[in-house]
Amino acid sequence: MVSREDPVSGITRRQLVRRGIVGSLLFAAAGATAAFWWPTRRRRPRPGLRVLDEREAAILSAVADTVLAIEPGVPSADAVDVVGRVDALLARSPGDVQREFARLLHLFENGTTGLITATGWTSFTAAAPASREARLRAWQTSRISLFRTGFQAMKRLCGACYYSSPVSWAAIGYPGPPDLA
Amino acid sequence: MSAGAEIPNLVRGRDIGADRILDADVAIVGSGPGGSIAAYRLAAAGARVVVLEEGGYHTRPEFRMQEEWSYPTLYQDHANRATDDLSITVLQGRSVGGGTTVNWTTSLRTPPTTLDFWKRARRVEGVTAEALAPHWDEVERRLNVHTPEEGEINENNRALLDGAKRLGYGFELLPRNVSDCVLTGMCGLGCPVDAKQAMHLTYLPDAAAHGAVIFANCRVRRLTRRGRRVTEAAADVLDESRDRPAGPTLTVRARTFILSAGAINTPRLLQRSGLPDPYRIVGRRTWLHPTLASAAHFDRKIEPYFGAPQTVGSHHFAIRPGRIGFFLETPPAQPMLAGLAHAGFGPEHRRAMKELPNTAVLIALLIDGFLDEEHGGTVGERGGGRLSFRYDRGPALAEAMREAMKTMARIHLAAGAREVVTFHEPPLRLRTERDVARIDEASVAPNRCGVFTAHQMGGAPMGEDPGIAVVDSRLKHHFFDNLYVMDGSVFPTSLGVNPQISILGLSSLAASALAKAG
Ligand SMILES: Cc1cc2nc3c(=O)[nH]c(=O)nc-3n(C[C@H](O)[C@H](O)[C@H](O)COP(=O)(O)OP(=O)(O)OC[C@H]3O[C@@H](n4cnc5c(N)ncnc54)[C@H](O)[C@@H]3O)c2cc1C
Repeated sequence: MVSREDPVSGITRRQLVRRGIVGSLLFAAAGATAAFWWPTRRRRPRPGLRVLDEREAAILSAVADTVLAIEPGVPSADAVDVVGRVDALLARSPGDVQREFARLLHLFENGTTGLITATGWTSFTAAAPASREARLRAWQTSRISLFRTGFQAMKRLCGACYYSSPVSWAAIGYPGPPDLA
Repeated sequence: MSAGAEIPNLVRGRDIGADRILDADVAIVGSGPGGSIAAYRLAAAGARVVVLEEGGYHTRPEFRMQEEWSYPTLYQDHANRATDDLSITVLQGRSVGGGTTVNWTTSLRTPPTTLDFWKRARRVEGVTAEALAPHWDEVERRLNVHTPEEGEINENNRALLDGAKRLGYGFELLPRNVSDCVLTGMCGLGCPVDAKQAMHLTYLPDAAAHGAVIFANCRVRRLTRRGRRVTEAAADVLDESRDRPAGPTLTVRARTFILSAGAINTPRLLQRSGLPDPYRIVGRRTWLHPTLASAAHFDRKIEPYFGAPQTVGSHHFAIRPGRIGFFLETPPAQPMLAGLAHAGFGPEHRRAMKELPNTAVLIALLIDGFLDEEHGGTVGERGGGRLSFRYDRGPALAEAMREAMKTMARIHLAAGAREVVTFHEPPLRLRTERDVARIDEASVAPNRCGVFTAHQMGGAPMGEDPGIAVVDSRLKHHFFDNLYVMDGSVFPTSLGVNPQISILGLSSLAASALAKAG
């Protein structure tokens, strides 16, 4: 084994202490952000959705397009209704999970996080495609474990919700389940 | 093929309109292999048995091979269960039949080396291959366990066979519990032709034929005790469409209680009920066979989503003294599971998905729990009554992860793969043996490399020493006279093989002894 980093955590203990603090600051920042966006009570879900509001739906849709690399000839995340599918899953999940996921979306959108990951000050939805990719890449490989966790949450949900839909199958050559009749 | 008849004496949550209190001889929590065979043994011996299952009752007409329906409906936490940091994806069944409704049919007995280790290191007594043999014989007959024919090996499994052969690694054909299998490959989504001999088609109807009553959508919240006895189990009736308590409760008073809610949930129920745990061992030492995956692109069609999964396996690297061993199998790969599991995002993820028809997939299951440095998983609670689950990683795990990934890459390259794509974040692309060495450099820190588990074990281990074991070798709780655990949570370490036959054999042994004792 030639890896220089600690095989277990991927970072040294001193860094861990420091990042632990940064990590909690980020959670606090996310909380503050959330408080800014939802002054006292939560916004209403977007019409047709049960949990995500207008803004959260927009962030998620932008994340999904980037994760799924929508290119000409393949259905967009909206065509597969990734947002609606994630929302349906959230609706069946405990309230804490719903709040954490909403918080994650706001944290990801937030320009401050962009500064911390050195990927620019603009919010995610306002950023150009290349800079959106850079933001996701920074979270994917971040030394801050909270960001890696957040990346996985978004990637897995988008991947699962998109590719479970028959609409997505033609573009990847999956013929669908066999006909047993 | 079975007629797909409903289990008699099965009550769904929606049929329970008001609070109910029941009396029984035996109350069993959970209807996976552990609970189902215990229900059958005890009902056949004349006991009035009640089984409480939190999942729904789902059968063939609903199994339409759609991931978007099956995963949220038939898996724990709608298939979103994971460690707290999301670094290990936990696939675990949750319906009448438990994991057997969705599992991949591999049917292997516990390796003798594992049984010997338990005896030597964990003071397990009487759980021997000889004692288990008659139970295994009967289980294998009932579930029609048999070795697949040559012609049933799909291209995905063929790649493992070819690669292992070329490299001189041992491999074997893996027995399966199926009758008249038509090789759809959709085992993980609920068998669409009732070929898989899951519990809802075998031991549960057998138990019901002897009078056992099975309640679906009933989640046991807690056990109540008096002195050294458990007196009742209180369950919430769930509204299946919202997966929330519907209002009514179901209370079962019984002479004997058997917890078969599976690893993670059985220890959690013990904790939630506040049962004594002076040595703080409940929910610790949870083992997962932490599972690494590797994908390989070929120049020919593989169609890893069709054909029987896991017909070929290799235990060549199972025993690595002083290190964590691993075994190799070949999973099914339908688009949703692939989309969730593939590393990367954007163009690299899309490219991997477009290659799916030409992709072969291998998994390496790490045999955890045998080294002193390992602590395994810990079950607990975080805010809002939510499950907390963490898994401890030491240097031995990192070493085994890397070795396992290198081995899988070598096998696929030897089998003629054009390139191997790893599950690192971001993924590595490997074309030659020289490339394989890059795995040594890549991070295996949490969430830098995909890890999965479909085999949860431990958390309420058996053994004669109450300082390290929750139940004794007959699976009775050390501190309660009428409380038993019969499921995967009693294993003191992981197994080194897929768990269902071990769980069935051991629960059968313990339930038969209990039935005899009366
Ligand atoms: C995708 C997948 C593939 C697999 N492939 C294989 C394979 O090929 N071969 C093999 O041997 N094994 C395989 N397994 C593993 C195997 O199915 C499990 O190890 C086995 O089912 C565990 O049995 P159990 O009795 O311990 O618990 P489970 O089967 O998990 O059953 C426990 C049941 O209890 C219920 N429950 C939990 N909590 C409560 C509560 N509080 N109240 C009421 N009910 C509750 C759950 O809903 C569940 O139905 C696979 C598993 C998965 C998920």
